[in-house]
Amino acid sequence: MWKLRDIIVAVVLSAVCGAIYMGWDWLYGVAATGLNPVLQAAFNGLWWLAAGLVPYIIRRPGAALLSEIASALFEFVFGSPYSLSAVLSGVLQGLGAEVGFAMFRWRRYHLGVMMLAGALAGLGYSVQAYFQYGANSYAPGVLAGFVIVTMLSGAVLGGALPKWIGDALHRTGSLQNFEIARQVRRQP
Amino acid sequence: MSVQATAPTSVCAAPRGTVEDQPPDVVVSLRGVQLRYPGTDDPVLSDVHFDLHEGESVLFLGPSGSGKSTLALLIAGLVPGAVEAEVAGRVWRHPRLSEPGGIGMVFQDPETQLCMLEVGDEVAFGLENLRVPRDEMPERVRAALRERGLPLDLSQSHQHFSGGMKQRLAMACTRVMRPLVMICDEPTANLDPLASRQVFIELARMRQQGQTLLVIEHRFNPLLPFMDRVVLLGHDGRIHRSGPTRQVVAEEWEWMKQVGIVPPWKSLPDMDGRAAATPTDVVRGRPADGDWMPSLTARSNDRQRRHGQSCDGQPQAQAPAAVSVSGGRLAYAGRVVWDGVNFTIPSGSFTAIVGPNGAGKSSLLQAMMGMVRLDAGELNLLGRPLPAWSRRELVEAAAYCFQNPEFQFIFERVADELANRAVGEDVPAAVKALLDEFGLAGTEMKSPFSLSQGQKRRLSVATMLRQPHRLYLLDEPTFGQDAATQAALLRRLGELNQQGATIVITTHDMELVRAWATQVVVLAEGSVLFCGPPEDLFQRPDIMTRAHLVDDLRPLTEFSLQEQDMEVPASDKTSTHDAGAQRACTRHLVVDDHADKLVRDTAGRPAQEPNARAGRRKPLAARINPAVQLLTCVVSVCMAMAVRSIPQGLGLFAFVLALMMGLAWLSPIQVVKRMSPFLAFYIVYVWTQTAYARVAPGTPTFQILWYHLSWPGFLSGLVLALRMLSAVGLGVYVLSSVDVTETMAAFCQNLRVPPKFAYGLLAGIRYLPLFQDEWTRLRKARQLRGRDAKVGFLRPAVYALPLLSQAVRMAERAALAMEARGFQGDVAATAGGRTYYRQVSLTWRDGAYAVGLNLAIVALLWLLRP
Repeated sequence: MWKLRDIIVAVVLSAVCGAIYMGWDWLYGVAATGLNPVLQAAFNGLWWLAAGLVPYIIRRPGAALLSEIASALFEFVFGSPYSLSAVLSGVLQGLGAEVGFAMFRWRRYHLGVMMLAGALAGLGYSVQAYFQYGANSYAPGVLAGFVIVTMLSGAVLGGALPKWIGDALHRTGSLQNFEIARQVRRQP
Repeated sequence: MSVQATAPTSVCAAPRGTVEDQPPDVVVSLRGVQLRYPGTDDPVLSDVHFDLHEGESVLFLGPSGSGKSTLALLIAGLVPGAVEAEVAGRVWRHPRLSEPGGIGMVFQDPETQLCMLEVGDEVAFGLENLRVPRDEMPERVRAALRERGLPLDLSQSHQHFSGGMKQRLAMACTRVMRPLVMICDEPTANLDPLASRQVFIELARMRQQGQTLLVIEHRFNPLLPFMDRVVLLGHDGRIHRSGPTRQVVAEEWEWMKQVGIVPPWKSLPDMDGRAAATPTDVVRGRPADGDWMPSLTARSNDRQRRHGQSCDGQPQAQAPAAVSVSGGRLAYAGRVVWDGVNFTIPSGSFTAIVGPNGAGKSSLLQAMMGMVRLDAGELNLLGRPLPAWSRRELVEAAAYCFQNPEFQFIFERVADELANRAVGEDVPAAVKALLDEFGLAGTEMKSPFSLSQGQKRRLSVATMLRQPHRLYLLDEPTFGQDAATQAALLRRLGELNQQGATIVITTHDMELVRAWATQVVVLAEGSVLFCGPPEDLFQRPDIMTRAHLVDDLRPLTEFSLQEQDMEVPASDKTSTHDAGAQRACTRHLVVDDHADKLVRDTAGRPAQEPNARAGRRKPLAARINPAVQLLTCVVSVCMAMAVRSIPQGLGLFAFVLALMMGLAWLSPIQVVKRMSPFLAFYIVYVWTQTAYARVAPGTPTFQILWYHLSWPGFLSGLVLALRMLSAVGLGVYVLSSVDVTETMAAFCQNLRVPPKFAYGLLAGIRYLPLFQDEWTRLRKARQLRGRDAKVGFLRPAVYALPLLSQAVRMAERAALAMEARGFQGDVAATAGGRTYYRQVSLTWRDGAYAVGLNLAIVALLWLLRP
């Protein structure tokens, strides 16, 4: 059951993530120019940070999908070069991550689950990359490498990193009223 | 929903068999109540007996941590519920209090209790929760604003209102719901003296209008004549005493000093406000006989002896001045904050910088530390021009303390923070000594962020005192602190001052200035209005008024309740007043935050678009239901994926340009302006495809370094870039044709999205400009400790923790404030559970538009197929 505080925290964190995505868009544009697509794919995972961070803190069904869409909307509004396509990315990445959490019935949020969700979000994004961003024209080996590296990047930047941020935030004591703290309290 | 009643008695929200015990006018009755938050050992409240009667006004006083706010939340029905807690004892609340709008709450942070973007939506939010029919809303909204002396345009954005205006707006928002009980939890904690006074006046007025009031307030003196009863809470969460205001305050004054409700330098206020005040007293700061701080006479003599100098630039002492500024000028984005600033801070003085919010006090303090560069003029620090100081020397000679202590924390544990390095398990003896001295023993392994407000402030000061300095600069050190922490802090600063260090603080607390400062600098109206001993300042009512300096000691009187009218003419007088003059008058209050506003404006938030409902003919695109508009365009972006050739790409892009100019009425110049940043970006796409596209064997390639560039690859890159530019164009088209509030309303009304998601999103959007401010402050704090990220793009990683924990706390407060305005249960969960101030229509035209637009794209792509 979503509480209002869960929603507002999800929105605020999504906004922060949206700003990070926006920065990442431009950084990617500069740093990844001319790289091999397989290397470029290593950047991808950070674009679904919210799909890991928000569910890890509020732990509600749908958190990954909704927060990823919200953060993509913010990214769009802040002036992302991907514009409305970013919103589409949000939907696909969010769906991927949501499947990962759903497989454990939204009850488990340990490192394995987080990394799985991050990797699946990468799979979701690969679909868009194939149809919209020209991955369909890559050579087969490059395409396979692109998908695998995207999923690995998702597992690390979109799974392990948000867990690490969430844990650090939990240690500051500001998450006492959220599911993450409640679950830690329940299992001493 | 998470009431875990621990025996012996259970919590009941409705009367249960005991109704006959209640006198008819009791609205809340607590008997032997104990309250504990989960994950803590000690109860916050113990053995609380309390009755609230209809029509009375009660003041809660207690040191921080005594459970005042918790008690208020319990009475409001927000604990347990919105916040989890275990409650024992008997809690009886009038059934009307549990209905939406039964309780009105005003909280201390002006930023987090507003949840919409415009004034009209904001006030109407409560009415929507009460399911008031749409037709009645505008009149009730206007009446509520009028009642608080706020003749505002309903479509005005309240983002740039001053703190005081926001608090008065928040009061209008609660009063419009006609609550049975109104609870104000430190409504002035974040305000300057003038704004505080306006809030106090409104509180007193509501009392006179018969509103049942429950007030928690640190600076309570002005309110005393208007409070029927005082409840004193002790450290243990028990009620120490409860009774008639005058008697309890007079008899318990010493106790209040002991437990830290009032700082020790304050004397018993004169509660006979009604008799004493004359019109001139209200305008001036101080009654003619200055005998209300007798205890200070000795100190001020001492002060005169030690620092009897003027500060017109010629220090009389032999030692060089600690700080001297001549011709100082500071501007943000071309607008002058202050100019022609000349003053001297004598070495060894205790100097207070005072002035209204937004006068640039913090900037002035930061300029002394080189964090803000002067645009003109000279600044000498300890006898040497500032540019001649190296950063290391500067950090050794002077220490700076930020208003928000969190910005100073860069380690994850208190012990590391104090040692300024990771110390592991062995806490050095010096650190232990500091911990003891500041009452922080036992916290060394905790996260600095998890401490209480008072502990955080003491920790930030303790880190500053780790090494001795010659000059201490503190930005609002007593801000938001309870009396005990204030006293401890000032005592320590006083000692440092005695040992010869120079102390410079900014503050709003004129009593503090009176008791501690040896010199005061008044910064207002873009310059220094006064510089000299505080005694002289208090003899200059003209300056006091111009700089918004109001004496908090002075109780309100019947007469002062009319002050507000003089500042903002009420709406019903509009017809007789010159409308322009009135606007100017309102503006004066609205824009008194101008430095804050400058930061926000320059931080890149676009100025509010003129409101779309202003009656002008709207472009066609803005007349489409905004939710339909957004979804239609997302579908169109998906369709754009089908673009496979350059003609298709060009065709679609031309179509999108036609939409932008034909339906959204953007001029070609606007289109070029908004699209150009993206053009460069898509060169990347062309390059990637040229270099990496799969090509048929035998296609000629052009070799550069290790790249194999191909013509077909270049063409497919162009197709991609055109596809993306169409998506960008559609994005610009959507953004220029929808209003965010209206979009949210459409999602609820037409697409049946649960309001808590839509309104939650809207509330979150409000915080975006605040983040910009926090970011700027955080950066300065890190630079000061020499701990800023070396590379710009690493900053997000370094700043993440303090920024996120601040964000989470703001979000929590916002959620609580919204729930307190009746946004709970069905009203928040189902779209049909509430009424709507903004009516958004959905007709067959919107459907025809959605289908037509996308069919047109399909047809276009088919016609131009390769």
